[in-house]
Parts: sequence; structure tokens; C-alpha cells
Amino acid sequence: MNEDLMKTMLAAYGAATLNGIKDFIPDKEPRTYLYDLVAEYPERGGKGFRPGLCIAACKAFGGVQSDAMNSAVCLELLHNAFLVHDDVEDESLIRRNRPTLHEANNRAIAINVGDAMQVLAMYPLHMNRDRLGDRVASAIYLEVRHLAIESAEGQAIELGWRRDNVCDLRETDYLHMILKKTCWYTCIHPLRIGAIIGTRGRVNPEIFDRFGYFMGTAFQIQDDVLNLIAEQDAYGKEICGDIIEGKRTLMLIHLLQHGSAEEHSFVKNFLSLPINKRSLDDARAILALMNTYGSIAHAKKTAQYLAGGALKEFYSIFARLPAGDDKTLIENIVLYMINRTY
Amino acid sequence: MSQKKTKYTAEDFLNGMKPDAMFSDAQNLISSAVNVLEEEIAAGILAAKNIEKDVIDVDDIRSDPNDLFNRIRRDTHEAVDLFLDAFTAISKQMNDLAALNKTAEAGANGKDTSHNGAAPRRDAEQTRTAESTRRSKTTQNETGDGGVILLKSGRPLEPGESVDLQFSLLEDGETAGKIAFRKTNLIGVDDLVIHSRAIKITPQKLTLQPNVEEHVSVRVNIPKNAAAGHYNAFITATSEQNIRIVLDIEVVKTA
Repeated sequence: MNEDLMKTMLAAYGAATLNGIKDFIPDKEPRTYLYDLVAEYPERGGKGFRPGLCIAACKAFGGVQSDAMNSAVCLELLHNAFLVHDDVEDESLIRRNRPTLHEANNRAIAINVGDAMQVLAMYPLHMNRDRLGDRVASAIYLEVRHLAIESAEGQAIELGWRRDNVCDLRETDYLHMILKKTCWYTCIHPLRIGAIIGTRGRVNPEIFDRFGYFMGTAFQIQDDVLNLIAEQDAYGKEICGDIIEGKRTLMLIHLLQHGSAEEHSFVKNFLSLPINKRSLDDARAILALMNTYGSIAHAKKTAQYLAGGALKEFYSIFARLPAGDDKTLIENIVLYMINRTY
Repeated sequence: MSQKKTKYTAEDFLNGMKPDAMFSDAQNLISSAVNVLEEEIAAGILAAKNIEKDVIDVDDIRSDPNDLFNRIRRDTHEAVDLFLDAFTAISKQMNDLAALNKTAEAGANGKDTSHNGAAPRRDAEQTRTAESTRRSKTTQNETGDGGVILLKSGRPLEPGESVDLQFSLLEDGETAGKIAFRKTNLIGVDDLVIHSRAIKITPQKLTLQPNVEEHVSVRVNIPKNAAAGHYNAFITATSEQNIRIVLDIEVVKTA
């Protein structure tokens, strides 16, 4: 499977999920201030990572796509709800090449849209009862409950670091935060849920924890690297956006650990300013320091190591399963991470 | 005077790669990540237990016998479901019995209008089985699911010991039918197997006359070299899909 085919499969699963999302959006007022906006982020298109992993895991473990659709819809709705709220919390300006929801409307409306998306994400879980039976539906509900609360806890940790301008973080702090904020809901639980559906609850979901964790962390680090080195049009977010937002990325933590005392102070002072007072020139200076100290190269290498760990876990979990496009898709996502040249 | 190198060799490349350091870095990183994950999972389990402790008032539950009984009953149904899941998995591996299983599953998917919907699913299946042309029942052991008889030894057995179990068959149709029993090996966990010759069914063949109850004995001789463990075997009959018997034997070694 080549990279194009991998992206095509993810796009196909993403498109099916988007159609499913629309089925769960009420066709009634208030459209302008709520329901039209609910579909906006999903329609902007993303990588389709979460529904893709969920559906692929379901099929790889012997299930059919239609059985996984309710859960894929739930995951994607929750993901987009998190994005809407994250953009408000991070004061982001651009999401997928367009103004963030709160920039295009206002913060209050955006927060309310995020709330509604979270509530709408619950109904597909209820529908799982008819499709999969009480036992499996209940297991999936508990998976979703866990991923949602872990994400909130992870986000809280990072927001707390930013509020208190914590600058003495270690790599393990980052690994801990990213596990909670990203990995459970991006990789671990989509895989677990897909396999639970595919096996009708006969799989031990914990076998996916390490695989999803390594994969999710590699994914997040690479996404953060792209934020720094990609052109804005290609990436869809503002250049140096993560630095201006004060996001505690692995590169920032590495720079704070390895820069001189003076440079540490410079970065710390920059981060102590309100976001709208942080200049792009200073952000670019911090980016230059990251290059000087090899922080970006370190992050790339770290992501590659973790993707390697993920590949090992993949083979130990999936080796016994019959060959198929969906098993290959998951394998290729990991290989793509390992071979990525940015 | 040192001589300047003009050619970049494979050795230079490997030295530049520092494979030992790279492996060590990767291993350290993965170990660090695994520790974070394990600690986080442990913290999650602890938090969940604490919530359970706070939310579920054990004394209150114990003081309400009806509620307690309902919980036990619910748990029992789940245990039966688990048993049947395991049974299904075993039966799938028995190629020679595949056709019988398929027919049984097809029957279980039918609508059951006599069922009022309040009782668990197992009850519904039991009702359907009662509509079948032949009924089977145990005389020594409890009946499991409606379609499956659970034939269980009353106590654990030691290697070299035997046990006699019985069940009865009643033809409630209008025509007589000949049947012959088939049996599988006794299968335990961790690939433990006791050969099917340890099971003796008497009579091995019989003719069921309408409304006449026939008694069948099953003797299980535990081989002297049998390993301790829990074993199950599956007994079916030719020409009769409704006869499905699961033998449940526990072997222990006291010496």
C-alpha cells in the first residue's frame, strides 16, 4: 500500500463518517447560530485519523464497517468539539486554512457549538445498543467516557502549565500530558473500540494501549514539528502558532532544558506575556533557537523512535490476523510516521 | 602529519550513525514512555475504585435483599452468557459439527411471539427449544441453556476415578427416530486434552419411540495421567440437532 492509497482509505472512512455526522444533526432551528456550525469543522476536512483507526480495527478484527459507524461518528463529533473548545482556549486564529469558529463568529457561540457537539456525540452511543447489543454498547460507552475525561485532564494539565508559565518541564512530563490529552482519544480508544466491535467484545482492549500510545505520541510530535516547519497554506494553521500560543511542545521543553540561562529567560519572559502581546519576531527567534539547539531534530528523532515502538507493538497484536487492506492500512500509518521526511 | 581522508566509507557512515547510542536512546525513550503509561493506568484504576466505593453504598445494597438478589441474578445471566460464548468458540472448531451448529443458530434468530419480553434472552431461547420435536433432560444434573444440557460431575475427580452421569430423552413427536451419539475429546485450558475414549455413552445408539422416555448413561473414566484442570466435552446425536450436551469435569490432584 502506498501513501496515496493510505490517504484515500482514510479519506473514504472520513467521508462516510461525515455523512453519518449529518444524520445526527437535527434539521431544525437555530441553524445559523448552532446546527449549521456543528457541521462546519468536520466539513473542513481533517486526516480522518480517529474514525479511520476505529473502522480499520473493526474490520481487521472481523467486523463490518457499518457496525463501527455509530462509534466513528461519536469519535469524530467529540474530536471536533474538542477542537472548537481548544481553539477558544488556545486563542487560535486559523483552523484548517480558515478562521477558527470563534474568530468567524464569537467565543460564546463557539463554546456553545462545542457543547452541542459533545451532546450530539452521545446519541450514536445509544444507537449502538440496537446495533451491537447492550453488552458491547455498554463497553463502548465506558471507552468513550474514559477518553473524554482523559482528554479533559490532559488539556487541564497543559492549560495549567501555560497559566502558571511552568518552564522547568521534563520529557516525561510531556509524555504524561500527551498520553492524556491526545493518545487516548486519538489512537488508543479508536483502536480499542474498533476491535471491541469487530470481535463483539471478545478482545482484551488493553493490548492496544502501548501501540496506541506510541503511535499517538509520534503523531502529535510530528504534528507539532509540522506546525513549526511547514508553510502556513500547506499546514492550515498560522506559522509559529504553537510558539505564540505557548504550547508546551517537546521542542519547547527541549529548548528550555538546553538553552543558556539568558535564552531560558528570554523564552520564559516571552511566554509570560498575554498571547496578543507576543510578537511574531520573538516567536521566530525562539524557532531559530530550537534549530540551534537541535530541538526540532530531537523531536523528529523521538517521534521516529516511538513510531518504531508502535510498529513492534503492531506486529505483536496484528500478526495473527489474516492479511487485508485494513490491517495494511494501520501498518502503513505507522510506517508513514517512521519514514516521514516532512 | 595526519592524512586528510578524501573518501567517505561505510565505516564512517556507521560510526556517524552511532547505532549503539541510537538503540540506547530509543530503548530509554520507550521505557520512559511505558513507565508513564503504566503509572497512568494504575492511577486510573485506583481512581475508578475510589469512585465505585463512594458511589456504591455496600451497606445499603446489603440491606435491600431484593436488589441484591436482582444483582446476583443479573451477574448469573452474564456468567451464563460468558459460558455460552466460550461454548460457541469451541463448537466452531469442530468442523464435523458445523452443520448442526449453523442450524441451531438459525433457530435462535427466529422471532419468538410467546415470549413476553420481560425475561432475559436465555428464557426466550428456552421457549423455542421447547417447541422442538424431541426434548432432552438431565436426571442427575442441572439443565443449562434451553438448547444445551450441562452435564456436570458433582465433585472434582482425581486421576483414575470414574463418574456416572445420566440424562433422559423424550420423543414428543409422533414418529420414532433413531439416533447415535457422537462425542468430542475433553478439552481443558492450556491445550489440556483427555481423549474421547474416556467417555462411554450407554446406549451408544437408540430408537426413540413417541412419548417414551429413554435414559442414557455417560461414564467418564479419568486417565491416571490426566492433568489437573477444568475440562469440557461436547456430545451430540446424529439426525437430531436439538441434542447438545456439554460435559463439565474438574480434575484435581490431591497427592
